[in-house]
Amino acid sequence: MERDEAGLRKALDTLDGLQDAYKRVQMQDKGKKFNTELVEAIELGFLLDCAEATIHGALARQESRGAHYRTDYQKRDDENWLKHTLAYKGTKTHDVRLDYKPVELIDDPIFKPKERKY
Amino acid sequence: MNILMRIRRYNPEKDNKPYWDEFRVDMEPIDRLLDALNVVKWTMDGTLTYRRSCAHGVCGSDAMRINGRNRLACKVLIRDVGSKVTIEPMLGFPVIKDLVVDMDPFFDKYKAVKPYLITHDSDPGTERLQSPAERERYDEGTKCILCGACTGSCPSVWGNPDWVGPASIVNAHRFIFDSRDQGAAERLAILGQRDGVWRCRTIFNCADACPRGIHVTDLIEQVKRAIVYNDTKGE
Repeated sequence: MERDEAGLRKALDTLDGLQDAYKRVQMQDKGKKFNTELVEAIELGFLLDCAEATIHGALARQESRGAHYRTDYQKRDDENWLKHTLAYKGTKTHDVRLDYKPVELIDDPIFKPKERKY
Repeated sequence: MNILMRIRRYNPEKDNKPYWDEFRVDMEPIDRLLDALNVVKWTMDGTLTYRRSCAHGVCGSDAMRINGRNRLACKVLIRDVGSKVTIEPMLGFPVIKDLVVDMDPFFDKYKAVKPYLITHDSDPGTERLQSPAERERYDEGTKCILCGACTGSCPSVWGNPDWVGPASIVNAHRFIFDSRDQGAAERLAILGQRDGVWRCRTIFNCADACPRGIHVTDLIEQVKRAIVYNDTKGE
């Protein structure tokens, strides 16, 4: 899987449409007993939230690391990006605040963190 | 291929009694029956209710009665059910809604046979080792995913819902014949009671229903013999 700025911006647009549609989500099952349709509708909202956090985090991270492969930033950049992304959702659309926290690396004599080059 | 699905429906909030509902769907022969249920739920009737989770025959959520036999909907292929398929909730369980049954009594019976390691020695502090042969002795029962297909297919269960049922005995077997376990006597005492192993009439429905291919009836017979001969080592 490859990512780049243009693709991620397009994903944001797509997500916009999906989030908009989600505001009008409807269900046929109005029951209170074992309503799996309701559960799935709620979970769909969670998935859209996760997608939003993922896209914003990936756009900001201008490097490649593990499965996050940016064709426009192909190198791993430990100097700027050896850190975890934390995403916080506000109440408005596109209201995602990113924060970061340091990575606690275990000093293992055999397995040293390194660039993925295959 | 176009298939007709006859589904047993029941919504406790609306219906006085269960009824048959019908849906026509176009599916590929190698689609699974669970895919067909999803097509119905997602595009035709969102109120259709069934359990599903992994969709790959491992979690044991979607056991149901398919053309009269208990199967996992995620393991049955469309080409194997034909152009008309009948789907019902499993027998022997209270129906909650549509294909969803109440599994609480099932898990109560499962817990009743103490399906966990029992030892009277102090913690060895290391792994409890056993030989490949000792591991093999109870291997069959470890495959159980607790879907309930065996218990829901058993006429002895249908006739007596208090009976412990095949799934519980399979899981008791898994510990009774484990060389590391010391709780065999407790479990055999439980299974030797009125609603223990003896209500099994070796009908073999359980072995036919098991989606994991466990020889359920054979395991039940082994537990019966362990009780009769007071022997958990024998074959």
